[in-house]
Amino acid sequence: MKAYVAKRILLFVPTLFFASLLIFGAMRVLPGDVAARILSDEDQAYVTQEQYEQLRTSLGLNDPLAVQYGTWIWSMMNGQFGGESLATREPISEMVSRRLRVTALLALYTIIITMIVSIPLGILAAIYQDRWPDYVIRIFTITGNSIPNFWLALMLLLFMVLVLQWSPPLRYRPVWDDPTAHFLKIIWPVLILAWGYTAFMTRITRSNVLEVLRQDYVRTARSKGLHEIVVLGRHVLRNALIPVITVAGFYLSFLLSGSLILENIFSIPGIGQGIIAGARERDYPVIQSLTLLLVFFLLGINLIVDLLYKIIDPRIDFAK
Amino acid sequence: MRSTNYNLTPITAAIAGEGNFVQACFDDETTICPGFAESWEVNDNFTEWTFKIRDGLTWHDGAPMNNEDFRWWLELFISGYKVGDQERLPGVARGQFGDIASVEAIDGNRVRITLNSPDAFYLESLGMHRIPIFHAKHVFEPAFQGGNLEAAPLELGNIGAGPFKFVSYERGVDVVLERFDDFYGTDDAGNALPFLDGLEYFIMSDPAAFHAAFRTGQLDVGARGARYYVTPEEVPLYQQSLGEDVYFMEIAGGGGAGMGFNVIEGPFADKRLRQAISLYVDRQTAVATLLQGNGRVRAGFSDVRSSNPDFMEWPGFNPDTKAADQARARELVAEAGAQGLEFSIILPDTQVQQMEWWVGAMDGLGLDPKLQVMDVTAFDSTKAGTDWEVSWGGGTLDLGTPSSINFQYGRKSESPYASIVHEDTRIDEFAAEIGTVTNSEDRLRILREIEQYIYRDEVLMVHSVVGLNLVPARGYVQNAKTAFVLNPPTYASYQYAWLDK
Repeated sequence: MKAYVAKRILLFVPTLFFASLLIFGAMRVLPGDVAARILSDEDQAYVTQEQYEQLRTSLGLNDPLAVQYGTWIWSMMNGQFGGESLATREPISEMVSRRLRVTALLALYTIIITMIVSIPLGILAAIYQDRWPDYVIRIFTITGNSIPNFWLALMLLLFMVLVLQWSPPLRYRPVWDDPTAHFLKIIWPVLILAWGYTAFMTRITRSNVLEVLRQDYVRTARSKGLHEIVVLGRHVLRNALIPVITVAGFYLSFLLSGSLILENIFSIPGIGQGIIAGARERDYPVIQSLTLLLVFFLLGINLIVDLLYKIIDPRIDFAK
Repeated sequence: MRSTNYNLTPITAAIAGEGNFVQACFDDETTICPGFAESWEVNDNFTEWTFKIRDGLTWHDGAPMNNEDFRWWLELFISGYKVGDQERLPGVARGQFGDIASVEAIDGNRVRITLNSPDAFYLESLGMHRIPIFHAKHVFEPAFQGGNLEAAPLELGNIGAGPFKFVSYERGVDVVLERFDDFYGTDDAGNALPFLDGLEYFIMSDPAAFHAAFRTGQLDVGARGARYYVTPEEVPLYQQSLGEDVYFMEIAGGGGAGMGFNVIEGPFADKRLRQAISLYVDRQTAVATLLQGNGRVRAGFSDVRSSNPDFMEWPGFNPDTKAADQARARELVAEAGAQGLEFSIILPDTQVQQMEWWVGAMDGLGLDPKLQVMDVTAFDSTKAGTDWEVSWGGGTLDLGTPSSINFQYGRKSESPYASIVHEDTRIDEFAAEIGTVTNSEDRLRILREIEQYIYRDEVLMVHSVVGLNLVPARGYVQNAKTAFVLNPPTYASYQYAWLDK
């Protein structure tokens, strides 16, 4: 087990390295740069090519690519998370610290709601397979899987205005400052994300529970006269949830990408809003650093999921 | 008062003041009024401008503000700053301050600006744009001397001397300002400005969320910017939500788009093809399709009142001769041997709708235009080069200064961001001529000559329509004003606003 964990952690390094090269390369392949963006600001018209080049030099954009990459990657390693934003000059470490908390909360709330709702729904749909509860749950999950979350967000806003004559608070507040304002602001993207996530998880749970329910050991447990709740809890769920955890980790990556759009629509100052703002400004260090951070998290999530296997299913032997 | 905006311009103006030495008059934006300078004098050949700074001015942190602050700020902007071998570069927009030879702080709390060449409209260069005095010497100089040559107002507390003091900025959330009690301004009755206790700008990265917030009563004034404007179709929806308690301020501009040609290389070096496009397109249809009837055909000026009085009679502009114009356009294409010519138009992704109109309007001409859409940053870089045939960007003559003429219409070798690729020295001559005139009539005459040369005679550019954009405000917001000034990027001024509720 220890050797496996060590090996997985060591694999982080080359994976992150290749990811960083990809991210850095992609940013340089795209045309345009932050200097052009700054200079094209309508407040700062009438610039010459010389001034443009001066700005590029001062921003380090005229340095050789290897130097730019080295500078960036070193600042990622020494805790500066890529230095500072070229557009706003905010240190990226501060930006990460400020925005990560928001996105982490958004993801946490989504996961909590998803787990609370999807597992019971999945079990219910399996138990009542092809009966009306299953049909109702299927409608819920199919629509949840099918509707793009950005469209849902816009429809939700429209519904609030037209029917409720209400819209989310303008100002995002941290939960510890003003819990009511915090939840009134963040709950909407959470609900939208959770619907998609729940729909997916419910279907996975349902199919796995159905499969396990047909296993011999479940039939044996029932024939021994165990209460149905005990059969479900002890014999069915424990086995059915192993693949659920796998896909839950996998789906978390979709959750993070979905939050990019929704944070923007609902003005939630998280990582997603930061990446989109950085992309608009072609702010290389910001996009590179925040994207690499997301890659890091996804690798971490995958590792945690793998390790959870062992805890949930002791039969798994990493040595083999 | 609660507002929002897509850029920092109105916030900067609120903190640092809506001008510098001078500013656009509140009641007549085409006229210059005193700003931090209470009066000015100029020598006979318009090269030496002397401004008397108001006495008793203070910065928001309580420090006195005098002529030396103005001299230092202007020097910083046009020359940069050096500490040892480190250098802070001059402001990128320094050209807007004209061709300055020297800036001096002289006795009597005055500042003297000497120009290298005469400029009778120099006050407009100072007052008709939005580069306010936002770099206090007593704040910035210690930072520079401490090695922070890239210091920006935000990191040094946003100390200005305008009507509102900076209170806080929570990134991605909001900017809060409060009334500056020692602001110099007064209204006509002598009441101290500003009237509002403060302003709060909410950062709303998506226009849908902005419209929802406004319609549910969370905002007092709207925002400027594409998709943040209220369209004519949305007006009834706003009124459905807010009843009569909402009105709409008009900002002219946008809505249509123009195109500039590469007249040195490629097919549009042939003037007949440029003329053919200008003749063929029916600009009136753009008023209907792009502006829902809320705008009008334009040529070189956004404010069509400044255009040549007969510009609607020009070939291609006159709706009454459109059929004949279109027939002639097809002949020109045939004469040029360009039937079926495929060409590309570069444009930023924010202008797709406007430029699709051009493609549709050329249907039947015999040319085959393709849109080459790119994001704004890529577009800026591409346009700065010469490797394109046609580019989005129709220019505007409204600014009317030599630098604006050169910037928008100048030769590519001198002006990389111009929307035309040409080396026609006639444009240089026009710009130089503008710099020598001393009265508004002569200036307008020359600007109209430029308009005729560029948009009719040589067809270096073509333009379509100009719209009227709507910025919403609640009924109780009094005296907020969107200004249509010579500088097109206008914004709502809150210096004189108050809330009647």
